[in-house]
Amino acid sequence: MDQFFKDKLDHYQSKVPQSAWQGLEARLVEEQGKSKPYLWIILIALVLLTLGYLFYADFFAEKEKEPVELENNAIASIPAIPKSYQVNYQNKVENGSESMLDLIDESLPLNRSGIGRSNVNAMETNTIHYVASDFYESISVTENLKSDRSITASPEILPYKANIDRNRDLKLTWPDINNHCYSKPNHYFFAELNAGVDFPFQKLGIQHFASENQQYLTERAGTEFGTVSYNLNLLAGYMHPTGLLAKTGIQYAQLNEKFYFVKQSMIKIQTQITIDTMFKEDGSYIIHRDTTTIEVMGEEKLTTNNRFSMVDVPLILGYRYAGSNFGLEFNAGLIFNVMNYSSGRIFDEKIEPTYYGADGNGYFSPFKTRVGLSFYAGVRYMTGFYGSTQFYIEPNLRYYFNSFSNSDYPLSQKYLVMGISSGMKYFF
Amino acid sequence: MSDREIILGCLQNDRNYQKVLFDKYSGILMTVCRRYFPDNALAEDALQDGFIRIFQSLQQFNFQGSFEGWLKKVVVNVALRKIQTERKVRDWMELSTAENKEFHCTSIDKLQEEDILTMISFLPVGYRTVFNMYVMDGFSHKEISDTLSITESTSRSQLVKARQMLQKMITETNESD
Repeated sequence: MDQFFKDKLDHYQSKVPQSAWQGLEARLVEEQGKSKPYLWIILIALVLLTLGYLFYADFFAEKEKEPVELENNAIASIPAIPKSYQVNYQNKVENGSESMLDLIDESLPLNRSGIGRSNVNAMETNTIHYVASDFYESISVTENLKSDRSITASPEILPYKANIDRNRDLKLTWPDINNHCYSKPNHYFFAELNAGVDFPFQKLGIQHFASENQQYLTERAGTEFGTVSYNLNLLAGYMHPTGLLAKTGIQYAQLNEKFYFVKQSMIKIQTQITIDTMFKEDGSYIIHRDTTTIEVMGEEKLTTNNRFSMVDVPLILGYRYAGSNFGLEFNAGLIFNVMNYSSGRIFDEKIEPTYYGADGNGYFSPFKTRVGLSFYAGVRYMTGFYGSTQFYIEPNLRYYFNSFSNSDYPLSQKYLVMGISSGMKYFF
Repeated sequence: MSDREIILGCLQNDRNYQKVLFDKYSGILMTVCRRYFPDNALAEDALQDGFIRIFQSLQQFNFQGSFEGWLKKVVVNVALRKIQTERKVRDWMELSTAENKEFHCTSIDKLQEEDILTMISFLPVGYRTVFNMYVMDGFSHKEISDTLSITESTSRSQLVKARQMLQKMITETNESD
């Protein structure tokens, strides 16, 4: 009978109502709408587009401005600025014994005591930068460039570099990105402290092909959900005058997930104690106690916060572009995982909810203690904050090349992590 | 159009290919759902759930083995999960004696597919689930016990009772003829 039933029904096609596909199509549209990775990708794309637009607008805005010539000894019309403002300019050397030198960098502290005349005092400098292609060489100079002069400047030319030659003609030229207002030219060593929130996207695959592993994968995928995660790192690095930079340090990252499973038809044994007090006619009474146990059927909700706690060493290379009032930093690199500490609960191979790691009893250890390399990429938007300190935000993504699971475990488990970090960078 | 082409199209989330896949296999998979859910509305729900799961996990299919078999396995898993969600599996002891329906057929050889589906639908939910899993979908008693959170001996006894009940349906109708 068994075989007869099986043979009859194995390839039998039942009639499917016309409405079935329409219902399914509507649900597919709904499911796609719910898909969180797409939302994140759209969000990050919007941030990148915004940053790209700022970059584009800033770059062409500067190109469109013509150099402004200012008359010597003119009256300043510089608006009040809450703190002293530093302009770097290049002074062309045309006479004297330093004829081999082309350009001199000097700093002019501007006195911003009020709107109107601004006295600019050229400071003594002890450094001359000899410019030959991209090569910078510093030598000492004894020449005293101290002088008094006045300049006229409008607000929009302030970020520009003043070129002053010996006959005191003042011209404004394109800014040197390394002499930018929020990044001092000689401050190339830096340290940064970042904190970020992440969202992990788990990708399960079959590591050892077997039919039962397919079911296992399907069951696991339906019970684990990524939740908000975070990372914290302290990095130090060096930035070359061209804007290229490298940095490394130490990072702590935690990936969080939630295991959620509703166990149906669970039986709970409850003890009921009934106390009856019976009063007799003579006023005395009897207390009767009855203890019974009853079985109550219900569902048990299992919820566990799973986590991977990782200590990493990032090695990041980047390039910084500096606009007139913001900066962009494009970062990419590798992150070496030093230690991975996992704990939580998932289905084991028998599709039973089982604790692992520190929460488990030791027999179920599906995850590695080191997960190897991951790739990092991010775009940072920076703005001046205070003195040599910058503030920034950085949308980013990390992709883990290797599976988090051990080689003898049936499934592979990789992660794509998207997030946004923020922090401060300090130039020494 | 080959299964491979359809799968690759579905992996691109192409709605036309998804429709082709649905048209090609919905009949067979509806039979699977009807085996587990006698109620047509529930069976249709299970079919939709099954296709959603199929589209979500299609990248897991490794092009080895029967695609139809893989589809059935996914739908069976969805159906089992749905049964557990409906909180019916553990209630079979009560339900097994509650249902009293009539079925008429002439002999086993003349049973048509719809007759068999009707007979299976007459089984109490516990008998039906174990019978479907063991006989139709090739689960072992160990797997059934793990999946339904029952003992292996319960699974065996449910199967025996399901067979007896089906046999009785056939015998009684033959005698009445």
